[in-house]
Amino acid sequence: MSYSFQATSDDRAELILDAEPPYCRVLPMAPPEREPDLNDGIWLVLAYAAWSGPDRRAIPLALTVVKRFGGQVHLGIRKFSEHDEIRVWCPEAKEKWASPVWLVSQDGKLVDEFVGVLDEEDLVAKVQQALERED
Amino acid sequence: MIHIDIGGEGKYPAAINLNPSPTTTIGIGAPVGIPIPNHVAGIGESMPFADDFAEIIMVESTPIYPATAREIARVIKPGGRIRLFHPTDSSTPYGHLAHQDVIQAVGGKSYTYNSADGTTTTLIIAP
Repeated sequence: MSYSFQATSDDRAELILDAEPPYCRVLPMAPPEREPDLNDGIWLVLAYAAWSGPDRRAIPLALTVVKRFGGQVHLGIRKFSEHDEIRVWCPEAKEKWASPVWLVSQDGKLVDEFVGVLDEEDLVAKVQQALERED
Repeated sequence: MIHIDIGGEGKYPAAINLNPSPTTTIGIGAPVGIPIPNHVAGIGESMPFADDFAEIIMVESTPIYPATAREIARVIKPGGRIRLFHPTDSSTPYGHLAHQDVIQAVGGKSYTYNSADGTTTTLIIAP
């Protein structure tokens, strides 16, 4: 398995990626603003809720799908507690209730937003659409 | 027997699924976008149910806000059962940490256990 959850001394469950390519990253929870490198290239960001067990099933899906693009797409995986946190680093995000939330951006501009643990091919198709927009 | 699944999407066939979305969103058990069976529009913080309405209330992988805890205490029948299930993760106050809020709001007897798989389950029997 290329990811795991590590329990900290204060009972937080931290996502750890092991031997994943550099274009797959765990992003910090609730940053004060969008990280500058999210403004460069195509990003697929998976925002999963800390209170949701099923959301975690999206993590291996995200890792599998982004590898199919061989580094053309960056993957960020970020935990959240409240949906408003997402809008701090992605003001265009609209989702208020559901999770996990997927955000596809191109050079910092949100080009797609959707929710759920999707079928792998459906997720590939959505990322592919973003790449075709870039072309 | 009235069974409410707060945030439910149809996992429990007999449950009323209280959910702000009329269609599935998680994509596990049913594809995203399928109508939720036994759906009632609403959220746990303000449930559209009378006092002492339900024998069973469940919250699984759905946030428990302070108002949710108060609403569970209002809607559960005397002697009713409550089941709470969340990842064990103190990054959020609305997951397993909020189980204590529900225990305090409802009273009665409660049992909490942490599983090796990183989840916390709380069972409460309302007074």
